Amino acid sequence: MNRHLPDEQLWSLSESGGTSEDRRHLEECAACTARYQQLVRDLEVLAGVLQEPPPVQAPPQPRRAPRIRWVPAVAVMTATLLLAWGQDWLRELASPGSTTGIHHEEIAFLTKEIPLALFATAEPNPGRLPARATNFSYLQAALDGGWPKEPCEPSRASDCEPDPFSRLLEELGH
Amino acid sequence: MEDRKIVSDEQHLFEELYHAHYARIERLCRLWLKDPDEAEEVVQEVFLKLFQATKAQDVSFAWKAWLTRVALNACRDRRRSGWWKLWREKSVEIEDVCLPSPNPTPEENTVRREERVHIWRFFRNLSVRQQEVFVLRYVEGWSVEEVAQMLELTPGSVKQHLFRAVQHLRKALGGRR
Repeated sequence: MNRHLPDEQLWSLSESGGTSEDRRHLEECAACTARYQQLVRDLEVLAGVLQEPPPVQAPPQPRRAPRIRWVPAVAVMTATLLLAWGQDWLRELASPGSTTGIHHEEIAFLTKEIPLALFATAEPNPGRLPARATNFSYLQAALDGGWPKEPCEPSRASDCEPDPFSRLLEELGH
Repeated sequence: MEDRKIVSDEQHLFEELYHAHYARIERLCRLWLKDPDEAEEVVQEVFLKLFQATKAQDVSFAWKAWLTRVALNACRDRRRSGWWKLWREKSVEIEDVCLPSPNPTPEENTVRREERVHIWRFFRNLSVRQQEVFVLRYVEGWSVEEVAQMLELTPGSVKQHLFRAVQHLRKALGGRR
């Protein structure tokens, strides 16, 4: 056999396989012997490396919490507040008349109108009830949960069905 | 009195097997699972099964092969489970930065660190079957026939997987030749 042994046959020989011809070639061929010995060495190295623990990742550096520099932080906050307050103050100084006028109106509104609206104990117009509320048939219908039944006007047909919406529109003057 | 002796024998057998095989099973699980914590959990599972099995079998039982098979199946189960797949994405990567080994072996002195990293990377790139076959044959030292029996494959199939694994892993050693 003149051809060198392929890798698979060399490996097969390392596994006590292969034919007697392969073995004879291996003994005679220096190149194949060298390749075979290299294969055996490689297998030893591979097995040896895999018997050891895998190379581990270097432990990551613990991330430090960002340090707050309190003095500059407080200084910045104070400056911001002062600036905001100063702006308001300057605006007030720039237009004193209009703002005081507005303030007086606002105060008058708050002192007069709101208490009346919120804490009213009497009817605002005791003498005038809404027209709809005085209509007895509507009130009765509301209590009964049905349509108001009013007597038909003499001009209308006797079997008329009073239509509440048309009557409502009539009363409102439409 | 008799019962106490049996319990003591079981305990003794378990401890003996634990000390004899713990490092080996841990290494196997670490090879077959990427995540070391995951591997540690599987090792615990395996030894829990061993604890239960020592009640049924005696010292003459083929414990080494049994433990290997149990570890293999436990790792397979873990890989199959859905959450393992998610976890695997976050598994420990093989880095170029290696921590120095406290006790360097002669092998370590010979093999350069870059090569070790390379080999592990190439090993991780093997198919699961190739990893199993390679580890059982070359790291554990089982014969091709025994590996075939463990994996329920034919010896020819084992050889095929082995040769492919060897070819692939030898590429990691390219710089040596």
